[in-house]
Amino acid sequence: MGAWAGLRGRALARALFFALGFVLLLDGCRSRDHNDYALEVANAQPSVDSLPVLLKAQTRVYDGVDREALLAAAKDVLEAQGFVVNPIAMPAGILLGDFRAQPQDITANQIIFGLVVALPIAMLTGVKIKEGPGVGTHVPQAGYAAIVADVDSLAGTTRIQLWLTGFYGRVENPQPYTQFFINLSDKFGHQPRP
Amino acid sequence: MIRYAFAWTVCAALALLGCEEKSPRQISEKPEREVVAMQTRHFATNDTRAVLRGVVASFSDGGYIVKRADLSYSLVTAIKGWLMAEARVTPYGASTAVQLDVFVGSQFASQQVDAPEFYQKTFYDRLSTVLGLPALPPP
Repeated sequence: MGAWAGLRGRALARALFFALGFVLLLDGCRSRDHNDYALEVANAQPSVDSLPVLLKAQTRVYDGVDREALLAAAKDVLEAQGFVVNPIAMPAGILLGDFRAQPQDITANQIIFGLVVALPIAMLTGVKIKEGPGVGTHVPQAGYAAIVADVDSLAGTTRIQLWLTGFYGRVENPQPYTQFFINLSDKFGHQPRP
Repeated sequence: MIRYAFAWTVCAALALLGCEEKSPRQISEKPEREVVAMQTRHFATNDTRAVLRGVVASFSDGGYIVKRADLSYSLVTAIKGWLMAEARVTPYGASTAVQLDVFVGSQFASQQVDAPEFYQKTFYDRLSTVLGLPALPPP
């Protein structure tokens, strides 16, 4: 609350307006071909070193469980972590979550740094600033979650994958993925295989 | 006070500068048939829901934020930076067709991506791996 008290409405409005001007200036000055830009952004990936760790952290396999029940438990876990979950595609084995951070979880410095530095750079260049105030590598700042659950009826298994994504790209820290699956196992009552 | 007024004016000017000469949604100048061909691939499966899951997985692997997955319209929308992507999954005989349409920009001004390598290398190669099926060109 202290940080919020220090940041008065006018100061926040000013910071927002400056950030907007900065983004639009860079956008207006961007002379690159839009196809080149699209390729550059689409190819921006987590570091090669973190990919195998990430793949392992984001995937679990459950033996002989009901997919609908598993997804219902996953929905409960995401909601308990503060995500607003859209279950509309659940019958197809898809869950999408949107994290709404509570104001008390965000400091004024994080807002200003995120808006003025990290967000414009990430949006215009696809380059992520991995560490720093307001740059999330953990769930409360992740922003979005996507879950896909595939059933292998021959093997009798259900593979569940979780992606956590922020405005700056995929969350590369394996900890929030691991924590999610620990919470899921507690909720669902079954232990998965990695 | 004058300093602030100056700063606000500069910001307003920059904002207007950034917005000039942009129409809301610029589609490619290439022939429509050519664009649709680069955007569309077929997969030899009639399980459209599996393909839909594959599309969500491919977007997520690519660092996109999946905003919406709609079963009624078999539509997945995703964003990454200034990229706005929309993938439509439709049954096509014994196979399933996927059409990906990507724009660069915002909802106020955007331009359609019309580079074939973008669709193939950044999306369909990945989707093909996820589904374990080759991405076939439209018949």
